[in-house]
Amino acid sequence: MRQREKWVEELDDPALAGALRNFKASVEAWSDAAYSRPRTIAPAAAWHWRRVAAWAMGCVLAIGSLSGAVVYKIHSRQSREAKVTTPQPVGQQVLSQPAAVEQPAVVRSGEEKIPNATTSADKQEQSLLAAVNTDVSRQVPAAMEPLAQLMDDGGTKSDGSE
Amino acid sequence: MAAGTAMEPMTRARAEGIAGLELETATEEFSRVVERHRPQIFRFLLSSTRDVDLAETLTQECLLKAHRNWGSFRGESSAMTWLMRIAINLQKDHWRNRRVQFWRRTQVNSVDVDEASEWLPSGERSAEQQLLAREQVARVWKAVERLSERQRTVFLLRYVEERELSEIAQATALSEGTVKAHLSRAVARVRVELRGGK
Repeated sequence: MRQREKWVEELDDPALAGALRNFKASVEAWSDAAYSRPRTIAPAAAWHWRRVAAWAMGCVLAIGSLSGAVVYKIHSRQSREAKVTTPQPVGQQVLSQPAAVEQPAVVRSGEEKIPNATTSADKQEQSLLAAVNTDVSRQVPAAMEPLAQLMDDGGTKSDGSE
Repeated sequence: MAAGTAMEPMTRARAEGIAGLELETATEEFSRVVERHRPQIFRFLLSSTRDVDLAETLTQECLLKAHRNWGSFRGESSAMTWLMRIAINLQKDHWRNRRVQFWRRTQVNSVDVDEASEWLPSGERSAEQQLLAREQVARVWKAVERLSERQRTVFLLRYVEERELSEIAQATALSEGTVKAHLSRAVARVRVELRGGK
């Protein structure tokens, strides 16, 4: 015999009371079936593997970004060192541009010796290049002749004679 | 002085013994409460969420939380009301988190209203009666689906869990008057749905 629900008295509508009774019975049946169903542990295992895969992916990404940062740092340091070890006086730089056009191979080889710039051979090479640049800068092109005379008052003439 | 030092280990041992006994008693008591009320908590959460997995998870969380705070339960309400209050709060937190953290991977496993209404106790009913009952249950589910969260909670506690109004008020932290008002609106909505909607 079904126990009469407590709330039936407060409902004046028998159809509504019947519907609510059926609803309650339905929820109870569903809940009982769901409560006593067998549990599986498969989702837990799947979750475990997903977690491992996520960790592995994370490690790969972290290592990749770290090594990328290291490579970038080394590269930037090398380029900074190269800038420091190959300075040229401003006047020479300006005047040596035509010479650089005339002798590109010599100048480029001097610029490319970046890593071992501090060695004595490089120093010799740089002093040689500076000497060459000075010599070349004395050969002023014809179009610059009046300007060279103005600049070279008490010193040498444009053709190099005293 | 000497008596004091001799008594000290005895007192400590006794205190530890009493504490151990109390802990054991509390654990046994909590186990009994869980055994008795767990199916009801699960049923309430299942009817609220229509999701078996979620209902199981929230039931576990509810009992875990209750176990942690069992010492602070002062017995002002029944254990069932206290557990129900924890379950309601957990359910609220779940929906709130889900709304905010929309990127979180939470699967929607809620069953369809029609599927939920398939469940009926196998009694001595004719096929026609079964069909009619199924149709009624589907209509009630539809109405429940459209209720506000608070109305739904009050409605389910009253008509499925058969809680008293005072208990519902305690579990939901509302006044009895507010509970009655929510219940009245919920019933009106169900009545309209049973008469064919609108």
